[in-house]
Amino acid sequence: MHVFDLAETPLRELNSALHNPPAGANDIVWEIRNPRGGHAVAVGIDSDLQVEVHGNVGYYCGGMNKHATVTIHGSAGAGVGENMMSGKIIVEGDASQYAGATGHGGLLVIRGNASSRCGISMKGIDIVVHGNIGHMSAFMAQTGNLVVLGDAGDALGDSIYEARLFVRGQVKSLGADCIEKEMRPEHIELLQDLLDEAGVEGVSPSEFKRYGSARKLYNFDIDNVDAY
Amino acid sequence: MHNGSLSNHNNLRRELVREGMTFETENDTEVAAAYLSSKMEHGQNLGQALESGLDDLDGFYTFVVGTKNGFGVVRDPIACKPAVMAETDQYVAFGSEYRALAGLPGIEDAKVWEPEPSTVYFWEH
Repeated sequence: MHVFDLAETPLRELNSALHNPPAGANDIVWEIRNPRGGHAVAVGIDSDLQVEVHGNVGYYCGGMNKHATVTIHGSAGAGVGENMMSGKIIVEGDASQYAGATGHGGLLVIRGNASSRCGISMKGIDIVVHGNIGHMSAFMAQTGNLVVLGDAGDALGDSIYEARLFVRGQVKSLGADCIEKEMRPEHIELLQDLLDEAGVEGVSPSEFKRYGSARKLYNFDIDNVDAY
Repeated sequence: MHNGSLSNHNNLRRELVREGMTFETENDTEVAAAYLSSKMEHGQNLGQALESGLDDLDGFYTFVVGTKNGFGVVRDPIACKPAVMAETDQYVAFGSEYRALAGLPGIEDAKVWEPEPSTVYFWEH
């Protein structure tokens, strides 16, 4: 196991080491201590590492992640998992604004609550939030799945494209062009897989409602001008 | 303390000048401070003044306001300006990010949370 203490080692040294792990090494576990809200911890990893971050992190933790599994044993600041491509990021605590923004792939699990704009402009990422999410979540979400075990704030899925949103609790309000949709058998199956992958137990897919695009705002229409 | 910008500060400044407030700059934050002072001069407490501000101040903002015996926080309805708070039995602290709070005593056990949009948080003693 590799151990980095950010109270002693500069962040750049850590990220540089994570970008160039020893070739063919069996030891893929990296432990990071004392992040103390630092930004850009463990960003841009491009290999199958297991990174354990002990403490709270600042902005963009795990951003652009490919292949690695990053676990944050604490809370995360704005933009956790931003633009991640694959792999897995787990936040044991809460996440700040725009968690998983523009994510292309992989799985982001937030065991606490996520703040506003969770999954904004998501492009294929799967996000599972055990708690609640804030307002303007999944704004302009293009594809991928956002699963929320708790409640969603105002204007969920505003101007959404083809992402699927599954919410178990209350939705304060839906954004422009976002509507509730029927849960068909394929959605139940998909949701069960996502819950399993995110380690959610004792929750049935049938407890969720599905939301998605009404597809009325795809092309400019003068009758919809107030909605743009 | 203000992070953001107000779009209706010129009009508000004119109204406040008519009320007799004086200004030293063309800055929008000064207008917000004068607005809150004016509300408190008219008998509102800081919490009520911040509530009024949600109706009258246009733009985006996170305000942190301290008075002799009060401390208040409010964010606009969009709340894109960052804010994080920590609360223990001993103190309430505000920062634009957790990093600013990381050195506080007892932060490991503090309740750390983000203020909701359009919601006034107010402490007085």
